[in-house]
Formats: sequence, C-alpha cells, structure tokens
Amino acid sequence: MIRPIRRLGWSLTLAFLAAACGSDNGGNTNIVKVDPTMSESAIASAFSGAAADSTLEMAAGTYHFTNSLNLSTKNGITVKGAGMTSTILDFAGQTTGADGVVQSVPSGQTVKVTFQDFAIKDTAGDGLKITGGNGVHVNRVAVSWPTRTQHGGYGIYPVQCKNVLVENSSADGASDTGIYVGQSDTIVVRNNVVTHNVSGIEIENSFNADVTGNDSNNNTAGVLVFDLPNLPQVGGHNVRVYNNQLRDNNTPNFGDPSGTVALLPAGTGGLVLSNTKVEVFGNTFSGNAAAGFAIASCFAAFSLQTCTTAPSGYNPFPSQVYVHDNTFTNNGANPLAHNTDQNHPSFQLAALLASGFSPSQGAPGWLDNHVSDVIYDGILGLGGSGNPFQICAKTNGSGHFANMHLDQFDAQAPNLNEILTFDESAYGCTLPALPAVPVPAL
Amino acid sequence: MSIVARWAMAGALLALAACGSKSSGTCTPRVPTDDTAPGTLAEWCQVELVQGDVSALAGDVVPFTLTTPLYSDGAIKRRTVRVPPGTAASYNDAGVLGFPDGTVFTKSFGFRADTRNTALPIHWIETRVEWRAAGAWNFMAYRWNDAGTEALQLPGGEVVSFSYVDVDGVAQDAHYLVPSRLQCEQCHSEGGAVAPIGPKARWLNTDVAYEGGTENQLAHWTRTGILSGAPDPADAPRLPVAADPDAGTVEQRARAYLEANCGFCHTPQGNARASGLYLRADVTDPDQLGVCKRPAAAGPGAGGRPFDVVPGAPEQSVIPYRMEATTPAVAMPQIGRSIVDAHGVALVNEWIAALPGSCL
Repeated sequence: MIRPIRRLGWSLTLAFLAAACGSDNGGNTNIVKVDPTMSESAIASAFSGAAADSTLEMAAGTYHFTNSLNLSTKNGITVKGAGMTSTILDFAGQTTGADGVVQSVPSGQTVKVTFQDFAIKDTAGDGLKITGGNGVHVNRVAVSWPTRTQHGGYGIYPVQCKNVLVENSSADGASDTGIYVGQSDTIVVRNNVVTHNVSGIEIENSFNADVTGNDSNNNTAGVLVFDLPNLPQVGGHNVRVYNNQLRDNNTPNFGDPSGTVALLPAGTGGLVLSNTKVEVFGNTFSGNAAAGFAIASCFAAFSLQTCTTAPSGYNPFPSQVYVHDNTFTNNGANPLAHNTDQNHPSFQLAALLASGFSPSQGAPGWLDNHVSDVIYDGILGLGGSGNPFQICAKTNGSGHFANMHLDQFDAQAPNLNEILTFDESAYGCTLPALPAVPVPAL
Repeated sequence: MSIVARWAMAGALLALAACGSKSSGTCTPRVPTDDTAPGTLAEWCQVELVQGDVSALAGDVVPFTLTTPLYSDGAIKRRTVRVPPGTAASYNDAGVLGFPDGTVFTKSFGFRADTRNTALPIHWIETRVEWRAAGAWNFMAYRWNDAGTEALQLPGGEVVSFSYVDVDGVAQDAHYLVPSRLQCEQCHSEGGAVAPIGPKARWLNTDVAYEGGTENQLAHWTRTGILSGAPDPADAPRLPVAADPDAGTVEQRARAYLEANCGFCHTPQGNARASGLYLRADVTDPDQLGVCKRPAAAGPGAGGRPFDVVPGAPEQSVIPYRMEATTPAVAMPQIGRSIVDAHGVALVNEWIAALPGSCL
C-alpha cells in the first residue's frame, strides 16, 4: 500500500460553499463569504470559481494555506478582507505553488480586479501576483515574511498589466522588491510603506508611472526605475517619482546573488537604470549611506553582451532624466558601512563608490567627504561627449551632482577618485515636466 | 474494444495492451453542453476500473499516449478521449488538434508502492476531466477514495502526501498536488484561452500497440473517424520520446523534454510569458531559449547562477537548478512536481554541457 506521511486535515466537502447572498455591494450582485473555519480546499474552490463582478469577503481571522490561492480570471472580482491587521492569509506551511495569492489572466483578455483590506504572510515565493490584468487595484494589502527564513521575491507584483493602482499598502521583507510593477502601462503607486526589502519600490520595463507619497525606508535601496534587457517589453519611459520619503535604506543586501537587485549596494536611495523620460522631484532622500540618487546605463550593471543582446527597442542608456527640487540630507557617508560581504555582488558597486574617497596624487575624490547626492555613470558609448542623453539635475538644495565617467573606470585598480567630475553647470539643464498619469478608473 | 493505455517509460514502442475483459455497463458517455461538472467521475461514464486499472469504457472511448509526457512526481498515467458520435477532430500541424464541442478527455494519475513491480496494485490518486462545451474548455479533478472504488469532484484541489519507490528503486516522499480548477488553467492557457496541452500532432505521432495490432495513433484516429485531415504520419511533425536514447539526439530529446515540461507556460502566449524565456522545441533564438539570458524576476529561484543556460556549464545554469529544486519558490514547474525527475535533469544537463560558446 501507499503509505500516507500525514493526512492533511481537509474535509472533502463537495458542497458549494460559495453562497450567493444577493445583497448590494457597489453594484456587485454576488457576495461570496469566506471564513477561517472553512477548509483550504473549500476556500480555494471559492476563489477558483468566483463569478464575474462578484466579491469574495474574507472574514477576520487567520487562514492557513499549504498551496497557492489562485483567483478566477472572470472580470471585475473584488477580494476583500476585514482589514490589513485582521484578515491574515498565512502561507508559512506552504508546500506547493510558488506564490501566495495569484491571478493569471490569459493573454489578450481584459480583466479588472480589486484586492483590499487583508494581509499575506510568509509565502514561499511572491505575495500577491497579478499577471495580465487591466484595471488592477490593490488597496490596504500588507505583505510580509515574519517567520520564514528565506523570503519570497516580490511582495505586491503586478506584471504585464494595464491601469494599475497600488495604494495604502505595505511590503516588508521581500528578497527582491516590496512593490514591483513590471512590463506594465499606466501605473500609480502611492501612499504605501515599504520596509526591509532589498528594493522598496520598482517600476521595471514599464510605461507611464507615477510613484508618489510613499515611505520607503530601511530597504537596501529605496526606489528603482529600471529598463532591463531580455524581457518581452522594453523601452521603459515616462516615470515620475515625486514627494516620496526615501530614508535610511541601509539594510544589507540579502537578494539572491543572480538577481538584478543583488547588484545594489545597501544605502541606495534611488536608481534609474536605462530608462527614458524620468522626472524625480520633491522627494526627501536622507540617511542612505551609499548614495542618494543614481543614474546609470545597462553597462554599469551588466556585461556588454547582456546589454547588446537585447530585443529591438532596448536602449541601454538612460536619457531625459530630470532630478530637481529634492531634499538631500546625510546621504553617501560611507558606501561600505552596510556592504561588508565581499562575496555578495552588492559589494562591487559599494567598493566602486568607496574608491572615490581618499584623494591621492592630486585626485579630487568626492566633495565634502561624501558620495555626491546625484551621481551619473557618465557612460556615453563610443565617441560620445558632452551630455547627449540630457541628464539634468538642479535646485536640489545642498545636494551635489557628480559624473563618475565610469567608461574610464579601472576595475582592477579602482580609480574613481581620479575620474570624478563635478560639472554641475553642464548638467544643470531643465527638461519639460512629464505629464501626470491619470489615476486608473477602477 | 477493451484496451488500456500502458505507458512504457523508456520504451521505443508505447504499448496499449489489452488488460482483461470489461463491461460497458448501462451508462452512456456524457456529451457535455455546458461548464457543469457532475459530482462523480462515474457520471461521465468514460472510464472504469478493470482489474485495478483505470480503463477506457468499451465503445468509442479511445485510450492514447504522448511521446514525451509531463513529469508528475513519477505518476502512472492513463489518458482517454471521446468525441461525440459522428464528429471528428480537425488536424493541424502546429497546435492542439481542433476538437469539437462535446469532446471529453480524462487523465488518471496513480502510483504503485514500488513502481518497478508491476504486479503491485496501482493506487489511484485522481482523474482529471477536461471537456469542451460552447467553444470553451473546462476542468475538474476527481479524487479517488482510499479504497479506489469511487472518485468525487474536488474543485479546490488538495496536496496528497505519501511515499513510494520510483522507477529507479529510489524511495521518494511525494507532496502530490491535485490541482484546483484555476491551477489547471495556470498551465492550460494559450493565446488567451484555456486548452488541452498534449493532444498535438507532434506528441501523438507514434506507434502504439492496440489490441488489434500496432498502429500509429494519428493513423488509428483517422481510420476510426475521430480525426480528419491528417497527413500520412510520415509527413506529420513528431517530437521524440525524451527518455529513449535511441529516439533522437540529445538536443532533440532535451528540447522535447523542455517543451513537455516547461513549454506550456514558457511561450509568448503562456502563463510565464513575462519571463521572456520560451522553451518550446521550435524556438531558435538563443536569448529566448535562455542562453546567456539573465533570469527575470526569479527572486530566490535563480540560486545565484548568472544565466538561465550557460553553454557547457549546467552547474552554472538556472534551468537545471530549478529542475533540481523541490522548495515551492524555486521548483519548476511551479506546480505539479514535488520530486526531482533525475532522468529529465540528466538529459537537460547533457544538452547544456554540449552547447558551444560562453557567456560574457
């Protein structure tokens, strides 16, 4: 006989527990109530069978899952708990399915969805993952990993979506990014709190995003705007990062060494990589020990082969990046302070920044004994000169701009202190304000 | 016809052997017209237990097999299909055959306490039913009871934990997943709609031993009238039996294995489309195949390895790392496998080891 290891205590209930109550809920005609006394299989059945325009109401309490919880891809579903601290979906016992709550919309369909007022804890992989939605609203959802030793990659993760609003939510402890919106279009990420992630918030390979009013603290890096090669959607553009708090992002990098974010030195306030049209203004960068805000090309992070073997439309150089009217306080004091593991990829860029100190042989080194607040890798490609990509930084209070000229960097004998320049006037240009992203009609 | 599909793991010839007599009983196979699933497998009237094996009911229910199946914790699998009387599936080279409304597939999953000892009974875990109605495909899993006498629908799925001895004599602890309906769709999604995965010409194009003799499946389906428009099997595409060293080159077999086990999601219209890693056997772009491609959004799943495929260096490649993993955030496929398929890993490693070039 087959020997059972353990019997999971699920009842083989076959009744449809998804009872239609018929009461009104903002136009929804169908409310399905879920409570913690139900078996996991029954809850999964309710999620899996949810009808168009229905609301799944999850009563307060802690729900325990061993499997991913997959949501129906019918249009207009709302998944609603009783509050971020009262309805808890606990995946600490997860043995199958990579992620926590998942909605995977088949390509080509238009599906709206709302997730609100609950918490997801200790998923094996990502917390809340939505692929292919159009009209995605995440409101007051908290994702964290309080007990797992290996944390999942992403907290709140819409990918290949359109019309995304993530607000009033939190992510704590993601081993990649707390709130990550990838390969999407028309995005607002506002008023969230992200802590203890490798990257707090990331807009990656996406078009038309506003990131505002967020508090990103105690991550490895506060906010990232990336355009990476090797993905189906490239050409990230039109991203505004404004009125955010980006403070004390000094958590040592615990990302998987092969992930892109593993390259980030602890102490990074923010970074633009290879995007076009990024406006960064009204933010407060404080206490980030490696650097306040950085602007870099693909070549600063990856190999020539990786940056050039990309789909057509990929531009490895950042361009039209405008960093203005931000407040910088106490950034860049010591790039190595929180990057002590020489075997982790994050050490490389930390060491690079640190090599800009200690003036020697007449080399200037960083001004005022700290890494400048807005730093640019200065990689222009063959024959480039001047400021061909329109990188502009101005009126950032006491924050200094520096061009690192990394195309002259010698990795064998780090020489940043010899190649740095502080030509603020050459980069003090003005770019047109980017248009606001309309808050998606949800 | 009393024939029972029998999958020979490494055999060049897939045998569909007769396995005792059976009755057609009194029921008539169900021809579904909507997405409603009956509560019991028996109500489909498509398969029955004959001497402990889940068998196609007599009549026009057709057992079939695929050249390279998905690895499902080493489960023994039995597949059947029935198209409504008087209808036929339409042939095409590339995709799923054009099955008509009313088509019903079953796929049953079971284990022996020791896989090597075919005298032992098969403990059936579940039978999945996939049916087409009103132009759309639907799914339901039916969970067999411990006595193996009845299977009841289980729309929310279940993890079933047990131990057994695999084909190599290795004791394995399985956390076998009976998928929820949505987890069915997670893999069965293509081009904006859910669909079968296996019944494509390239997987069906192989000889099997029917009760009346050996015959190519495409030819058999054509001769019995359930498939129309198929060319001579010699002119139809075919992917090899990945497990059979004589069935093709290492590359052909590894690519067949990757399509069968990864290509349902890792395709431009599939669930893993955002990764940019596409693993169907017809992909030729090295970047899409993962060669020197940085892993995308893998989180802890990349294991510190730099690229999905590093030519000549399987030990540095992400794909075998995820194939060798069983923890949920790392393991690939994401669902449906809790045990490492050592044969699959070895084959993919052999392919990567022989690839020329290097990553910079």
